[in-house]
Amino acid sequence: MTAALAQPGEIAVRLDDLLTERGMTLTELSDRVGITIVNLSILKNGRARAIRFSTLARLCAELQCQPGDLLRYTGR
Amino acid sequence: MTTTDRKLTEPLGTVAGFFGVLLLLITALGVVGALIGFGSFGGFGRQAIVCATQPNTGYGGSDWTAHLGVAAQHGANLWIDGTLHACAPHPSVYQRLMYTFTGAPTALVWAAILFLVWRLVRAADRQGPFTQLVATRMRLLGWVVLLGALAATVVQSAANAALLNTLLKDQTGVGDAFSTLPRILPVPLLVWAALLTFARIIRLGTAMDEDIQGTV
Repeated sequence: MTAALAQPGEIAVRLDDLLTERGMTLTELSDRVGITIVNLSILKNGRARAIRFSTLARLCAELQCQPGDLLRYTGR
Repeated sequence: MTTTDRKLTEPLGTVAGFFGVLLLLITALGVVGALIGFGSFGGFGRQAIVCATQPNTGYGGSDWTAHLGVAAQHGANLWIDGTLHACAPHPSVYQRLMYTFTGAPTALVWAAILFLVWRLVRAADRQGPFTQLVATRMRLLGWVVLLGALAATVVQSAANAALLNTLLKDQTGVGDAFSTLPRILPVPLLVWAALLTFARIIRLGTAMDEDIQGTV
C-alpha cells in the first residue's frame, strides 16, 4: 500500500529581491537579457509554470548570481 | 494571428466552406425552381416526378415486368436497368412527402456536419488548436457523423419502402429500413472513432500546451 503523497510547497522566484539589491528595474533587465517584460513579470509574480535553463542562465549572468539565489522552495 | 496559425486549419476550412456554399446554392436553386415552376425541390414543385428504386434487388435482363412478377399501381410507371425503378408522373401529397424523406435526411446531416466543422475550425482559429472547446466540438462532430448517418439511412430506407408500396402492386423486395445499415456503417464508424480519439489527444495536449505557455 502506498502512503498518500504530501502536497509539496512551492517554488518562489526572488527576482524582485535581486533587482532591489542591484538597483535595477525590470525594464533595464529586460533590455539587457533580451527577455520580454511580459515574461519577466510572469516570472516575478510567480505565475510561471516552468523556466528554461537558457532563461535562468541569462538572468544569472546579468544579475551575477547562482540559480539558487533566484529560486527558493517555500514549504507548507 | 500569424500566417502559420491561419494555415493550421487548412484545407479543412476551405473544403467545408466550399461544400457549405454548394449546399446553400443547390437548396436555393431548388426552392426557387419549385416556386416558379421550372423544377422541383424534394418531391414538391409543379414538374416534380416522384421515383423510387427497389433496394437490394437486381434483375439480369431488361425483359419486362410481367415476367418478373412485378406490376405498377394505377398511374405509376416501371422500368428496369439492372434494378427496378418506379415513378409517379402525377404524385399525391403523401408520395411527394415520402420522396422528400428519401433524400432530405442526408442533406440535413450534411448541413449539420458542415456547420459543426465550421464551428470547430473557428474555435481552433480563435483560441488555438489545443483547447477544451476544440476537443468538445470534435467529439460532438464525431457523434453527429455516426448517429446522423445511421438515422438518415433508416429514415430514407423507410421512406423509400413506403413510396414503393404506393407504386408497386405487390410489395416485393421493399426490404426493411435497417437492411442497408451494415453497408453504410463502416465509414461513419471509422470517422466517429477517429474524431473521438483525436479529441482525446487534443484534451491531453491542452495540459501540455498550458505548460508550454507558462514556460518562461
